[in-house]
Amino acid sequence: MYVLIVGGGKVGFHVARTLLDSGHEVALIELRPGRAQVLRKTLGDVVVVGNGTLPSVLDAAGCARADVLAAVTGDDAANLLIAMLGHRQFQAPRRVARVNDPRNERLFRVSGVETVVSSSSVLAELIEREVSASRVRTLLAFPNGGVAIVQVDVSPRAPVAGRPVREVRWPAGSLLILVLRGREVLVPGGDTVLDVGDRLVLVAPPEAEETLQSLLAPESA
Amino acid sequence: MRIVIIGCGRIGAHVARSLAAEGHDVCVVDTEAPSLARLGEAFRGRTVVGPGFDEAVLLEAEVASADAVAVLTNADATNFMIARAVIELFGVHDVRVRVNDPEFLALYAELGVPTVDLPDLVLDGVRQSLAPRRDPDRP
Repeated sequence: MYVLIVGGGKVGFHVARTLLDSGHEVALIELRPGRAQVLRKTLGDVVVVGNGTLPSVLDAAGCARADVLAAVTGDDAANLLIAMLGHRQFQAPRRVARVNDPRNERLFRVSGVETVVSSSSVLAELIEREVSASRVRTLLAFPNGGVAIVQVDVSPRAPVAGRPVREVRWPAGSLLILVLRGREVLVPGGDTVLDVGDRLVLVAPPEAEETLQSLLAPESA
Repeated sequence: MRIVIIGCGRIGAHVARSLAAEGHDVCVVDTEAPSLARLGEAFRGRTVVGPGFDEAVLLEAEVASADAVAVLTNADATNFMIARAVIELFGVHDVRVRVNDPEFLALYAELGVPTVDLPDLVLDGVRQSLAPRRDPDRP
């Protein structure tokens, strides 16, 4: 895959390095010549100096053949402009844009930017997850699907402990996808017997949370 | 007419002052309070301090009910974001955007957003000075 990244700050640099390491073709456009020089020491020739909001610069960097365009500068206006140029002028099949100020997130979404990455929102979610009293932990929430991938540990008093998956009355709309047992990862079938200490990964709607908690991790009396 | 001007640099301030003097109801938005001083003491319109792409700022400037909105900062990316906010968050399509670098004209055309093409206006001015004079009284 060819990934065109605009913005060579910490985010752009790490994205570029990770993708290069996994064998992708990468170009990174950086505005500041001094910073570009520093980036070249680690990343090599893939670093291009230029103003990545300019259509001519994006064009010269091969935006038209990019599989993914990632706008990750520290300037939200630039990121929005780059993503829209990629969408409307270069038909880049996938656009990812970083939002620095979470207040701008809505504008990015209504403007049709496919993937919006907001580090502040991600951090807020992580912290909220950690302080949450619920024993059902959200691993991944889908913004518009109404379902999430959640994780629950089977506690000693759980009604499901010692029973096969098929005998459990799972809440509507939920699906058990993985059982993590020690170092083992099991793809469960109907015969898989659930043990105390198993970590279960499920797809579930938010309304299933209460039932999952009482089935798998009831309040210890 | 009710007109909202976003960006109070030299151009924005000139446009706002002139339209207000013609009797229009003008509201001016700028991120920097000192920029609004360019409007001068005689300016009778409203002013709002804050980023022009911020929903609360645009709400205070009452863009939704304006007859016209002009986005006139000297930064193209900022102007683009402000225009997106006015159009997408408030459904106002009568917005005119100052374009400083002609490279961006194609994107605005693609999106159907009217522009003020500043480099082209300057070019026009220069061209006019190059054209043969029609005034017989002048050499």
